[in-house]
Amino acid sequence: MSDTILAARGLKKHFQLGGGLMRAGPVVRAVDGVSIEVKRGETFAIVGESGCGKSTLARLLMRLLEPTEGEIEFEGRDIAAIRGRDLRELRRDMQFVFQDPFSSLNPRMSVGKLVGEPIETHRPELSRAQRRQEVARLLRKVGLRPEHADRYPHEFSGGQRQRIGIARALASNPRLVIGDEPVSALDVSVQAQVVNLLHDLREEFDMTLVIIAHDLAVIRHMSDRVAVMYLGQVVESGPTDEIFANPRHPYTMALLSAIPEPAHGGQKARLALNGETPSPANPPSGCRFHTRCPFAREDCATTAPDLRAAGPESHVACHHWQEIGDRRPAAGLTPAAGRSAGAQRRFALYEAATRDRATQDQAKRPGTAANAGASS
Amino acid sequence: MDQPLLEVDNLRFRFRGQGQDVVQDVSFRVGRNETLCIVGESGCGKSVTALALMGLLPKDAVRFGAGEIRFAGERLAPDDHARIAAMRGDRMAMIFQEPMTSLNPAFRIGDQIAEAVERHRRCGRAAARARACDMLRRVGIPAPEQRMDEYPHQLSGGMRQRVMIAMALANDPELLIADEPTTALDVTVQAQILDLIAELQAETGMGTIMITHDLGVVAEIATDVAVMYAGQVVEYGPAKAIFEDPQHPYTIGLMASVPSLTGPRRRLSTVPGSVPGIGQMPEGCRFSSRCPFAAPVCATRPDLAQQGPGHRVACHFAPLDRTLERSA
Repeated sequence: MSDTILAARGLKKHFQLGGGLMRAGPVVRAVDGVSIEVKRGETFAIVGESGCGKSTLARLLMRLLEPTEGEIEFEGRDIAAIRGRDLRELRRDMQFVFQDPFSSLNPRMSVGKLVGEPIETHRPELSRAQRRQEVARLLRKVGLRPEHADRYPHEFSGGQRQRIGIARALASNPRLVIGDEPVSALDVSVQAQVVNLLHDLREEFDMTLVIIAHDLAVIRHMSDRVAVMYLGQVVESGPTDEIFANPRHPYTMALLSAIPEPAHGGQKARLALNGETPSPANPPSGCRFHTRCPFAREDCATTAPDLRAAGPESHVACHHWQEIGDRRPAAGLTPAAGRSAGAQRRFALYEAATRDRATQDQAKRPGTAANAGASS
Repeated sequence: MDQPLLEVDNLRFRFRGQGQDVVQDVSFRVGRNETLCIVGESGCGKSVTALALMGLLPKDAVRFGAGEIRFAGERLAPDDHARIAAMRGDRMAMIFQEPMTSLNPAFRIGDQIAEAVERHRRCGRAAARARACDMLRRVGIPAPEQRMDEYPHQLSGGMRQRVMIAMALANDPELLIADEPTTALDVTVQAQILDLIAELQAETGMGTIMITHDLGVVAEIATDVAVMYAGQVVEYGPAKAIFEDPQHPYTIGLMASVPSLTGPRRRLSTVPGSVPGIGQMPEGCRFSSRCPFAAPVCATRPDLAQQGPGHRVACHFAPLDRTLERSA
């Protein structure tokens, strides 16, 4: 079997806006020439700010949108042309988790139906009783309880709904799961629960994950490799640790330095950007980032840089990344002032206590019916 | 010692028809030139606290308990809507999370700002418009003379938030309340807006209350921090103490849940479960249903007790390290 599970080559998606009877409206170049390769078993992240085309890219990869140009291969097969049975198989092998746990679950279906439906479609050989068992098993896997199968989405909190969405995605035994901002609608403490859950499930089910997100800290935590997008194009890609420790593209640097670090006195050397992202209907000439780039030169406005190799596994689309690398503020991040010795002990105590409580809950779970979903 | 700009003492209220307080004995103070961050997750009461201070909660829907607000030394009953309304937009102003829904889409932005000026100043239309134009320039909107005549939909999210700030500050308020002003914005734009607020604060000396769920934003701008959980302040103190010496289990859980941008990647700690509904609040310490250290004593409410200079914590077991390691 090949090492690459999902590949996109020269992917473009242009949307034709409005316009009149005789006159075409403007064209929005939401995704404009993106190539990525996702390796089997890894977590691949796509990151960028609003309007960078990351959600459109996700929809293209899921084949919820038809590309204007370019091709997508899943396990070596072009997915653009497949129909009927093959498409059903693709839907089985590739599943999605959506951002909004409130609107992505049908409110009229019970949890048992929501999770059971994909099983019914993709594994019709299972009997009704087997299906019920399978639903119970999946609910337990995502930290819910089998008796939740009879309840409806509105009875659950945001974090629990996201767990239901994940159970539904897992129901068909997918080899690849694509998550479009799967944790960004959740509160931090609940977000951490779902991040841990996705991590555990990936190991257990031997899945490949593609995560689309705007939160760089979450991306760093979850992913093995990352692609940074700006205005419909990938500006930098490579191993996560390398990109976070040593960003090469000025946009990546700016993005990383703009995140406020949750520690007192950890003032960063910030690479400030002027203005905001230009419209993808009318992208700047040459390098699309040149209008906001503090290092831009004349040639940046005229020639668009290609995504070229900048390290053993990393690529960057910038004419001047080598010179910029020498001049940029030292690594961008300064380690923040530490916590007091007492505080460090408290964090250790907290961690130990939550772990103990989780195992206790696990042990007494079959007996307790009230107060749903207290797992971590 | 200077009198603080705003003092809130034991603010407590509930919505009609509910048996529990949504905000329970919340106290804090904000000085001139200082920034108090109220931090917490959804449902912790941080936004309704701000709305109550601004007199923006519907009169008939809320029942206030005995609590007191002192603004620049003046006593205010929290349900004295008439007096609060006279100060609102003048001596205290507020900016909201979603600039698109808080600007009127049918009016030009210049007129909206000018209206705020005219309402509180005795000045003519022309003077008010001149002031509006000045404000737009101050918040960094290019070509303000032309922008005055645009409608909110013609502006980007970051620009709209700048307009909101211009409107809020048009009357030189002494107190600015900002409710998640950067949550809907991209990080690079968020950085611009936070810088702008800090700049304007340094110029005018106003006091600021910033409501946020983002600990990174708190670390960047706060002088003092109030951590709220389910309508109670669980920890309160100078920003340095909160970040370097956090005490309350909820504060610790919150900080441990945030993935870091530096250092080794480790499994995240979590706060188990989720916030109970207002009807299912546990007695006493409201965090006890999710707290890994909870014990029977937590059914009585802990005081917000002093742990260090100005640093107060509402937990029976504080300081955790000493209490628990002794018993172990």
